[in-house]
Amino acid sequence: MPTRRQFLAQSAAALTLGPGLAHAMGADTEVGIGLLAHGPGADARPLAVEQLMWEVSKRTSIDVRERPGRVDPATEALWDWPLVVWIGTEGVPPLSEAARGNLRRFLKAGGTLFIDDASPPGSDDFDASVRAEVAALWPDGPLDDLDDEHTLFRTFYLLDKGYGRIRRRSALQGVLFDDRSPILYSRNDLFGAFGRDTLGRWLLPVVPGGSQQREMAFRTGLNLVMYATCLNYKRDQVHTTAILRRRRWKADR
Amino acid sequence: MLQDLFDAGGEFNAARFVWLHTWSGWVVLAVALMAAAVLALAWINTRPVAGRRRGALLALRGAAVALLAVLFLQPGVRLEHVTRVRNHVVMLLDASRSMALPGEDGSRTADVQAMLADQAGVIEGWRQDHQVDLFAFDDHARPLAEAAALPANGDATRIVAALEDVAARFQPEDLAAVVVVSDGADTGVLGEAVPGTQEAPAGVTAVAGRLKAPIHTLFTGPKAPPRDVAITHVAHDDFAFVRNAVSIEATVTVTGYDGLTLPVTLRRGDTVLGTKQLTVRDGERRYPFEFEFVPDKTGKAVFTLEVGTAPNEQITVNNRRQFVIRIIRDKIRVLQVVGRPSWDQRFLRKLLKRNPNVDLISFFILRTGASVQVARQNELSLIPFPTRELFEEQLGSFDLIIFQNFTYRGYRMRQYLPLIRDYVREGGGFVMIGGDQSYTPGGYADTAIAEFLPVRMPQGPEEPIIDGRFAGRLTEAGQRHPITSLSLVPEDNADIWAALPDLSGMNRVLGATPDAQVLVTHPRQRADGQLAPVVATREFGQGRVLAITTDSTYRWAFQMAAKGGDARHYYKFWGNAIRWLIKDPALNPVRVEADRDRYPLGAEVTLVTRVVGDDYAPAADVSVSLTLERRWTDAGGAQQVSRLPPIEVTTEATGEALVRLTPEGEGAYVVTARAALPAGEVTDDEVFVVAPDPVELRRTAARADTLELLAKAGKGEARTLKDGLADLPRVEPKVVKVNRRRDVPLWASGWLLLLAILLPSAEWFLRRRWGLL
Repeated sequence: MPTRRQFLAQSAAALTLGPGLAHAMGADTEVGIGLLAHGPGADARPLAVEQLMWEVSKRTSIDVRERPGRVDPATEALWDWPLVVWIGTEGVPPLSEAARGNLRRFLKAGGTLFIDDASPPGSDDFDASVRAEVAALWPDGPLDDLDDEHTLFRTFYLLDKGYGRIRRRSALQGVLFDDRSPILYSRNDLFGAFGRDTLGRWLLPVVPGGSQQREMAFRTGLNLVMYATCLNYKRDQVHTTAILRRRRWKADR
Repeated sequence: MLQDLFDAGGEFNAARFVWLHTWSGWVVLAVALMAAAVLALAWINTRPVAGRRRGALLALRGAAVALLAVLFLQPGVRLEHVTRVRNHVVMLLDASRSMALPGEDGSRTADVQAMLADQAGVIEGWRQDHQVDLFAFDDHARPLAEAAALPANGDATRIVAALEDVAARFQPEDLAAVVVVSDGADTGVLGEAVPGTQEAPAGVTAVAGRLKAPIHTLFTGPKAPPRDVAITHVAHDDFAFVRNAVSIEATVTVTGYDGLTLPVTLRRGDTVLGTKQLTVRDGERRYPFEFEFVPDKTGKAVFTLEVGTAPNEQITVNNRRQFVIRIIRDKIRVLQVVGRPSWDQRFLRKLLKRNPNVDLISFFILRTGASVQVARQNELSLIPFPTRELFEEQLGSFDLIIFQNFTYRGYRMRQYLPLIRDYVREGGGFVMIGGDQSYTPGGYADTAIAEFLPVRMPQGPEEPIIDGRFAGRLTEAGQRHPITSLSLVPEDNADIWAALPDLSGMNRVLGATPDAQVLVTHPRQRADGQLAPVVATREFGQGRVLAITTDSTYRWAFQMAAKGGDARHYYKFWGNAIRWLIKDPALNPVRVEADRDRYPLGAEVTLVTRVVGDDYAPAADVSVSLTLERRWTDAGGAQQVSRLPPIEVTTEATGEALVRLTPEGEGAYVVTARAALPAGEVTDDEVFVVAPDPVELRRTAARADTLELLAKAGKGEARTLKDGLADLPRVEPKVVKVNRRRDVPLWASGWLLLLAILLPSAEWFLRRRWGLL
């Protein structure tokens, strides 16, 4: 994890070198995160999304929208944010049927929902709400642990597990649909590791601690954004050379 | 002979030995027993007599008994005048192409005709008892009026098939003989016999057994095999996959040459695909060759395999072999290069991955040179961008290349851009999708890519991006174009386009190129006085190009679902686009097809032309012009091209028009169908080959051994032309009526009676003299 000073210096360099950064195509085509407005969690991690997306924009080629949207799952606004994050700190009531139906269609149409359990250590209320909600939302399959080979762990950084501000449960969970995981679930307060105040200080400490843990949390978050946009690209890329050379593909020119 | 002895007046036409007695069988048996007893008694009572004397006595006794037996049985000659039904002598004359090759004096056919003229007297003699029927044969037998009309143009030599025709045409008892006159270069069952074998193939013995008449053979051919270099074997698949290596195996057989070097060339149309050297070595006749090439476009193509002509070569027609291979696509090979991950890329990749007909190679730029690096390389899953491999080595292996918000800058790729232009010109498909790294921001305005894009890009300082949402507007051309036809019903198509979610953001362009077709525009923004193109196409050389100046078509899938719809229009649009870009034949509104790929000389060719309208329904009353181009090699080895007058046809209610024609000669034919449709002139090509059956000329050596096997199986004689036809055994014709008859007794002769007295008298005299009485 670089120091803040190093980071600012590298960022300045990137601004001068990066191709095409000056001409965005508009907000609709930028990659951003919508925060699901259901329960108090949407406000629990201020500036976390901005910080993550800032890191994404500096470390990758993705054209980001830093500020998150706040989306009501029952409205059409949900569809402006193909990647939605649901942060929870306590038990929440079930979604309305309208919200649930809209969210289900959203996920099946290509959207991704990342659920982040930011509740205090020892509290399982939000977890219980999530499991009940996912069971209702996605009756086709339960939340299962992602295996080590899941593309999420190699979309950009090579990771061995999911990281976060705390270490409550190392395994990430998800549901499977159409060769992808439209719902992903972390109990490690991932977005809690991202927030900074205006002076650049981290808003929350990482537990058990250390800059490496925070860096690994950023890498998990960045992989999440990359997974939402690239899906299983990394799964077939390792085979690129073999695909090109298989069956004597050749050019006749 | 009997007739000559006993029928001096020539009143009869048949004579034979007969017994004229009328004794019953019992009487004859009793007399025979008595004669045996007399001989036995003589044997017994002569035992005391010394050797010679006993022999003389027994001889006299035996002669006397035999003579009495003759007188008892009354032998005679029966002279008859009978009426016979003439049976058939079938002459099967080889009419295959190999008979035009050199024989002993002239061509093999000429030698046969000369022999038949020379043997006309023999044949005329046969006609007294037989009907002589001439047949020409190649793969089957057919009646021949006269030997002078014997052709040498058959594409096969199937002697057994010809014999089966004879067996089917004649009752076995009506045949006197079958005479096969051939060079023995059989291309059927008989030709499978290995030289030197004594056993005829089963099919030969079977047909010979059915005929029940002798099968004679007359061999015609040179004493030494002709000097020849022949392509005797070509193995290829009828189908091959585009951009997959195709192998063609061939065997060249050399006869009568040593120390020779000749080129062996494989061509596709006029393009040489490969040349190898044939070096003839002592004692080696067969030379295998293998050619490998990679077809780069789909469709039927005529291939020519050719070996050079040797000095003084006698047979050159077998130095060339033409064949058709249908090149098809196994999967559509798509290279998707993405400048940065985005929602548009995410949905397009998903679409391409879900298409079972697409083999997708994706390459995404996940990090640029400007990106901050906070991890060691081994902590990242990134791999280098293999530009040389993708855009130089493997470029031609792709059917379609998609540049999605991708700039070539920063990857040392400028030298590959002309290669991509050439790739498109030669038939590749290309899509550029908009974005902040595409078109002008991508730096393409003054590159080779700009030469084939359907839009013109600004290079000036104006803002290259137009922000904001907009509804894509279907142009008049877009209402008909296969890419933007989201429904077969035009009215529905307009409704679908009107209901599609808004797009968002687009690249500023100066307008479409003059030969582009703009299908969708911005509803308000203008470029060059026209509404700014959002979706535009262009044909460049043999290739096709699609430009989309926005990176938000994913909204047609995702936002459509938000409204309760689904992604099918998005899938339809891109599915159409891919099919159009790769020139899917099914999208061509005019199609022409021949009923076969290869025709023998003189065969009728059926061409079916099908026309569909904008809605892909059969289009009736459409005028189509068919032109035929023939390419062939003349006797001197020169390539010739001729064009036949156009054939004008009009489609029926089924959208089809049928043409039947008989090509004038051998060669490769290209049929081009042209129709003037509302969208402009549309053409389609078809190819076929007209050529003699290569099997007939792959073996040019005459084979006497096959004819010998046939004659042996048919219990006939194997001869050469020099031996002629005289005295060939034949089955005699059947007698159906005896008009008159006369018996000439041989026993009623005074001399025989005298002899019957003298023989016992002589025995009595000798017995008395030797003291035996």
